[in-house]
Amino acid sequence: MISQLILILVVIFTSYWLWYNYRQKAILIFHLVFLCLTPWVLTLFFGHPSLQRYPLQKSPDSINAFYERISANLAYLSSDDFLFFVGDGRPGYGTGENGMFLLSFLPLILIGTFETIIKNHRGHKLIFAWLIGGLTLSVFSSNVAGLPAALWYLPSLSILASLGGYKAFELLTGPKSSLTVKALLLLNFLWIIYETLLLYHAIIIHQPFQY
Amino acid sequence: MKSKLTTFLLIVALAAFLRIYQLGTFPPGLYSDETSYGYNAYSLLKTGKDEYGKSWPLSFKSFGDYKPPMTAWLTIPSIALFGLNEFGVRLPSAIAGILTIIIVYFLANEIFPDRKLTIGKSTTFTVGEIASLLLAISPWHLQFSRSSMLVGIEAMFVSLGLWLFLKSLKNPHWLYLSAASFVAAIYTYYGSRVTVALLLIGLTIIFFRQLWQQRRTVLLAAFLGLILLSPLFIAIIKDPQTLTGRARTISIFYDPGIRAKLWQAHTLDGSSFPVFWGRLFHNKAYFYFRDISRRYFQHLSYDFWVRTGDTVPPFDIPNMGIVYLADIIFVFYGVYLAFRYRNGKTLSLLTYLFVSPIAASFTFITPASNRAFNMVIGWNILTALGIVQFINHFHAHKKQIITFFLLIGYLGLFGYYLFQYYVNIPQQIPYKWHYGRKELIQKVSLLENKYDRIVFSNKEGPAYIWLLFYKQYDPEKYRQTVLVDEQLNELGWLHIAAFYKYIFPREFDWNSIDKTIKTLYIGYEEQIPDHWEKVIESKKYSLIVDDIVLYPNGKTAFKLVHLETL
Repeated sequence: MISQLILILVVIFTSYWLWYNYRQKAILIFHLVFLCLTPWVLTLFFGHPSLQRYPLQKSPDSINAFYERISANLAYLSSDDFLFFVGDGRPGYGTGENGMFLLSFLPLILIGTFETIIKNHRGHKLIFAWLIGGLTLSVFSSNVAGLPAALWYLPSLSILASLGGYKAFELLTGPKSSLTVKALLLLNFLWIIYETLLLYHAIIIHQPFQY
Repeated sequence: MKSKLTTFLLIVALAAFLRIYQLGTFPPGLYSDETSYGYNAYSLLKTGKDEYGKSWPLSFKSFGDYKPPMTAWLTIPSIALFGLNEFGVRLPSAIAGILTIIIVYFLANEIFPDRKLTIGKSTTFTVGEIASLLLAISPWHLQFSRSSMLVGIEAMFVSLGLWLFLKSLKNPHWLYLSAASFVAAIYTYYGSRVTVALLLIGLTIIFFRQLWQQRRTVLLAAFLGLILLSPLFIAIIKDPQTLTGRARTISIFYDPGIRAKLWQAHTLDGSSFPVFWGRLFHNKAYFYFRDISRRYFQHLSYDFWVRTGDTVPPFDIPNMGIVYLADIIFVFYGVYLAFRYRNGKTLSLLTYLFVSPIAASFTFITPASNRAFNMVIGWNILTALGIVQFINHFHAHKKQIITFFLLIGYLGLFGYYLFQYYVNIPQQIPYKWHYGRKELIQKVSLLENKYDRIVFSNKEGPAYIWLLFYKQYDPEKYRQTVLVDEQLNELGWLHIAAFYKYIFPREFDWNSIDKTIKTLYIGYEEQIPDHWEKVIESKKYSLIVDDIVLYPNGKTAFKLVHLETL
């Protein structure tokens, strides 16, 4: 119940953020659709993750152990395995077959990042500040790195994916893009559909009792 | 101008000192691959043939891994000058490392000619100067410059090829040398066949218009490249092993893990699940694609860069990764800036950086600091760009303060690395560098006349190669007596069973090994018991320890024992 409430708050806040900065319905629609295809969102909604925190404790042994904990958290939370391939390995915290995002979202996150860098959009510094600040909070906020800790920065990546998705759609349907670019983007959207089917297949068929 | 030259020479001098100082002693020991290159170079020098008697091969059969030839060729003059020893074997890599730093200086200045760090009224540093300084003290680069590991030499050729290519945009004639340099990289390392091909595709896309305008020169350069590669093509036709070498056995397609995951996924579907949908969701092509992607991104992870690095022997640096923690912020900033500036040259650098781990991603031992070694070039240039532009954000007097603290920070990190390299590697992980083999062979040489047979353990590496190397064994004599077991093991290694009176069983298990008197047994400490007695055919045999070899930390590495009847 708490995870669903948090999810609703995240959806409202990220949607408001996008509307406030971009004022485009299409981006908002992309954002809401993409959230429905995002494993970390589905886990919060259908899964049973405990959001109880295990605060990071200063090790009584040595400062090295404290540094090692932080370093391990950062390594885990920023790893490709956590973000795209395996996710939080605990039952109820993900399918284990996906990361926090579908791998097919990666090109969209990259396009979104690139667009944000190049265009100097309003709020572009804030989104990176959110990403870096959120990741820092995640690293320091928990003794057990995983989905609950990562909630500080995952929404910023979802926003970048939505911006990237919108840009990709613009390029795909626009007259200026080359045929190669269009083919690649079309392939990416087909890949998203395929991975979405795989994701729901994993939730419904592979792990019906954990969701 | 004079001060620029002085700065450049100081950086090169620092790089040379860090790469040549005690080169024969650190890293401790001589790794099996280094030893093999050394002995094959020695064999070529003495007889014109490799250890198997093949004249000037384009791939060295070695341990069954069919090593590419360039490193052995470059080692020949070094061994002729300095003898068959650790220094002689490692010197070509060290020189290649120094040359790479010079190349990076010019390459970075070619890509970012206008980005300069100005401190005070007249002191300026180019991106090239900072990049070459960073590369000079880079743990990743030092690790491969101070050992004969082929990728150090390969990165020199690839970066040289890229620099010459970028120069050819002004003067097309540089393209011939660029082509020759890329071909040299292909003769140095198997991964280059992928890296160079992808880099060339990227460069062609980025600079298509300029290349089209110079199409005659481009075609001639490509033709030159093909001519230089033709001996390799012929060798591949004659012996297909030359094409892939060990890449065949370490590729993910050789790894049964993927098939196991596929089977698991089908099992989870259950028997009633429609076959069509089962095959659509769980198919080999997609599983391999995900696996390759996953392995690619492992090379772009914090864990690999800073925390644990490459844990595969002998590339491990204790308690740290392969780059400095401070690099992370600046490299991200550098990548961001390179995208912002985006011109052909910055895009070519980004292409070089991001294609470098692709070859490694097709192997099942990842992340691999050796197979993705080309990343080190782009990494340090972009870090330098990030540093330059970061400091340039500040006003004059603040710049000096920031530079001072940055310098102190990097010095601290560099000191930490030196401590790990010169103190902790010999103390904690000398076995990863096969330490103790030289001392072992010296002891064997003193004892061997008393014995009819000498049985070596092959644990951690094929023992025969150190015998050949440290005894400077006559290659002709070796080839006359060697017994080769061609059957490859699961990792793709063949087995040298024996030569002269030296025997190398596949498994050295003390309980089951054939025991006779007048035989010297040599194994790792844990492989041979301290006390052993047994009655065999009414005779009582007892184990006598002849000698031991110690690690630098005082622990026992090897035991040399024989049996006596009581």
